Amino acid sequence: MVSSIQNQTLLKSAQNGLRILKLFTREKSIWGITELTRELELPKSTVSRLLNVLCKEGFIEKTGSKYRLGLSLLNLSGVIKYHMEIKREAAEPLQALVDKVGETAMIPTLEGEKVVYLLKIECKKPYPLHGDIGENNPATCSSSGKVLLAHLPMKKMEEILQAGIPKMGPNSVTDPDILMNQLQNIKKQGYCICIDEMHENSISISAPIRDYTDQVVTAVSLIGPKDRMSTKPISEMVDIVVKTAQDISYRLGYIEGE
Amino acid sequence: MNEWEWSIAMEINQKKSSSTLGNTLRLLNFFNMNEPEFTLSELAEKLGVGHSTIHRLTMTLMHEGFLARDLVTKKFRLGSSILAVEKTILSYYDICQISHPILEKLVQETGEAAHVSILKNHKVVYLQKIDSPNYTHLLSHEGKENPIHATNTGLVILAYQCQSEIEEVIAEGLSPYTSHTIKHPEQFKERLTKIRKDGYSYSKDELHLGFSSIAAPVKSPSGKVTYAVSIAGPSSRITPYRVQELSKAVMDAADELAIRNYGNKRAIKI
Repeated sequence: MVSSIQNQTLLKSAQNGLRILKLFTREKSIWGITELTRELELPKSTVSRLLNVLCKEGFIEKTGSKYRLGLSLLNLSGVIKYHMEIKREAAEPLQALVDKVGETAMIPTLEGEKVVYLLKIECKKPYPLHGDIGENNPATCSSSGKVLLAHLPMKKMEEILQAGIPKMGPNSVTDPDILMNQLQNIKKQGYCICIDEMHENSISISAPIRDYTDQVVTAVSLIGPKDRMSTKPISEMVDIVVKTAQDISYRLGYIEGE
Repeated sequence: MNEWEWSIAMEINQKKSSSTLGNTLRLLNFFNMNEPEFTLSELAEKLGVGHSTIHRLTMTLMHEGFLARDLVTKKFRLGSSILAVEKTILSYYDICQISHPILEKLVQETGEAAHVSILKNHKVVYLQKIDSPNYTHLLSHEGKENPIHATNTGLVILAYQCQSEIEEVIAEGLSPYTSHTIKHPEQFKERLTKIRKDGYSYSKDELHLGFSSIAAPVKSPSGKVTYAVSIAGPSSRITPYRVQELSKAVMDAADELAIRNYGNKRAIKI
């Protein structure tokens, strides 16, 4: 997949610079140059040069003798969020879904063959198996990823399946033919249920969201531990997820039957 | 290769790789509210590089999650790695941990979008924004940078900075954004004096025509000002007639934020 093909195409200094940015997390939000050097396994002079460029462009700033992320990145994340009308429109119906079912709900999007989450509303008793904002998972073994894949043009769908299908949870499907069949069914029935595909003891249910162009732009995804979710009638949960997705679609200007 | 040639070669190599990262970062900065998507050739043209370079740059950015490419339209947009760092950045600013309920209340009271901002390198940056329930296409978002002299929040924070910083901003030039932007240094200084006297600033059409805002400083117990609270909305709603009522709500929110942020001591009125 991407990583294996392009390792030679990737630009080392750009990649190292971006890797530096990704090291700054809420858990470790400030880094010294020696720590960075150790973590990246690069010469100190290289790290120092990369930091200079990052500082110059406002992506990193000095705080005492150490470094932290700069506001350039906040500007860019603001640009992403501003354009996520979907996120604005989805927040309220998604919260209602979480309140009703008592499980975590998310809004996913595809980045290549991965599914990432734009919005996540946790339930009162979150279970530590769900993807976090900005984290990515293989699309082929999550219900949200499958819903999004199912609505891609056939050629794209085939390309992604041909690129290789990773094995995640015990039930994750790795045969491209079976998966293709599933995707076609998902497109027809308008929802997807995955049991133990991403992780053991997990159920996720997803349904597509369309906007005014009639295209599937994202999905609603409900996720929880199997032992808790299987005590509730699954058909009822499917209905609620589908209804939530419809509700958000209408807010985005989708008109049924057009 | 002798030592001298070697050192020159190393230097060229280093320069090249610094400019690679520089180009990468500049490419990211092309994306803004008005232009959230680009094609490969648009990016190549904007950056002034050839096809193979832009191909490798975008590949690298996608590999690390900083860019994403729409599978159907083939256009590039910013990727989720950028979204992931937002919480890290906001964690540096303690005020963001407490400002949310205060801004929420202000939005409820006024019906307009509310922000907390700081100054950074002579620009105003919105750290937090809460949208108005009355949907308006406001040209602000978290992290958005605006010029100090044309924004209310910028003026409010600048009014409480030292004289030399004020002079620096004036020296950088008071370029007009609309016909209402203050252009003359003397007028500019008078405006800052008025802000210090009133404790808030009202502006109409200074940055964007048709939009007004009201801002107030968040004062530390020693009178230092790092942040400002503001509301913004269409000039048809934030009318001169309502300024008194709205400015009180904004000042109350700023004072409450000061108390919560700097402890119980009430901010000294200067």
